Amino acid sequence: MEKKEIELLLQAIKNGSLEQFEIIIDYYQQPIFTYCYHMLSHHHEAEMAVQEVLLHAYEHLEQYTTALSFSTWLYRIAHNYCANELKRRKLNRWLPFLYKQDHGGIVKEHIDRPNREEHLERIWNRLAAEERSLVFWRVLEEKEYEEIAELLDKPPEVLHKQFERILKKCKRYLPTMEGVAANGQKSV
Amino acid sequence: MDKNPFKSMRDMLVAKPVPKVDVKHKVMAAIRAKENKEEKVVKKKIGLLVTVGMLIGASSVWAGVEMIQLKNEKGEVVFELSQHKLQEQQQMFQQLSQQLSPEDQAKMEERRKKREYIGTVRTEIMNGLKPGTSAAIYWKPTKEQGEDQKNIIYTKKKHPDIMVVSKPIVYKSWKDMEPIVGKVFTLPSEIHGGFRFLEGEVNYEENYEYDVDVEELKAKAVKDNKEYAFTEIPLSNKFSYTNVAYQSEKGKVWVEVRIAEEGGSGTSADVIEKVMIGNNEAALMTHTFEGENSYWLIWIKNGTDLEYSVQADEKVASKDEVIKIAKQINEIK
Repeated sequence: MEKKEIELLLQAIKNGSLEQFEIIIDYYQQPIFTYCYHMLSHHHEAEMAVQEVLLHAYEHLEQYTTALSFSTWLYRIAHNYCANELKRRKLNRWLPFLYKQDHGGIVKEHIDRPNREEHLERIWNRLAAEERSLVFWRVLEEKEYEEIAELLDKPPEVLHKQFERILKKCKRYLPTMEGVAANGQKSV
Repeated sequence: MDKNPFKSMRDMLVAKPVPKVDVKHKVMAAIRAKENKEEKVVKKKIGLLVTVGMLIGASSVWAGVEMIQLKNEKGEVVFELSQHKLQEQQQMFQQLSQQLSPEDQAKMEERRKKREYIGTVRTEIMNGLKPGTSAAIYWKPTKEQGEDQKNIIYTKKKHPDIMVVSKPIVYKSWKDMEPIVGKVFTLPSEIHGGFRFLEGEVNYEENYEYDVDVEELKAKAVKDNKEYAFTEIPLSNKFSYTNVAYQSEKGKVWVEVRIAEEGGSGTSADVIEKVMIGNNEAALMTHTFEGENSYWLIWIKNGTDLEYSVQADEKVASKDEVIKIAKQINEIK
């Protein structure tokens, strides 16, 4: 969908044409779900996440400005949602009695995960929310650092260094990974 | 350099395709449910404020409310006039506005602008009509109006999206007007103070009995890409009110006769007082604007269901002169 087309749709929604939001959902739900699915490694939670992200976007549409692309804005919401969710899971591990009521017990993180190989899973579980986002956008979506910088609101050079650190981490578990020197210093 | 040097990592990430998802209905249902809930909360808030305002009226903006009751010769209350000064109304409005969130205030402003726009269009359509004809105007309801309409029971056959306007016939003398309204009441050709009949208009009830083809108007609005559409309809034959201007070299005095409605009215007049017009009780309102007074005298003529009123600026007719004019009109059988 063209940027202009999205802007017109958003304007119509702001003016009260709720039906137009269905077009937005149709267009963005799958990419946002894909992101949340990789971030949370859980089908049902990713589905909940995409619903929350789209609902939040509708309710805060007045706050959206064209300074960012709508897609970037949505991904930012999704990233914040997933980061909170991962934080909650971490707390859940340490303070299960506080969170039992939410899910009827401790969240079983690995029940419905995407079928990654075991070693990748090990790496993935060691990555923080921001690191997962960075890997997802850099490796899977092949985004440039400048684009990711907008999504994570961080300078590209900082992200570049952060990515190199992630690579080092990964190197320990994925010794055959292409494009990375044994010392993990190769720039990408 | 290879743009994606992490092929193996990528391959592993996409080892299992991501499932398809469709949350559209769930999200839309959640949005609609939330919007309905919020609207109800806002309505409750406003309702509560008004109720509280009325309950603690003694210490609030309504502390100075005065009321005049007009009784007929049998002692029955036929008209009530309550005074809400403009300043008090503004204070009340401000109090209410402050309780509203910026979003609700913005919505109020939006509705005010919409009302203004509707008023302008209504006047334009009315001005374009031939004297003695009517038009039904269809207005495309907003989402909010659509919801509100569910809770309103409309009287007669009035369709919530239809507004009827009429252009009255204007008569240049009582002689011309008498055949039309003479059976209901009589007005003089000249009133106290040398004011002569200048022109009078006869208005009929808006014809909400007529079966308007709303669907046709809807289609017309869509076709014309407008929020409204209108069509000419027959004028009602039920008299509503007449307004006559009398003139002298001092200026104009207005006399109105209308079919009285049960209950009463509110006024933003600065002073209200009860006076006698013959055997009739009457309410005299004084509005003061930029140091100049204007008078508005209302009464229900005993033995009739007609509400009379006389209006004039003080520079054209004094309070005593307005009362004299009223007495003259009331004495005519």
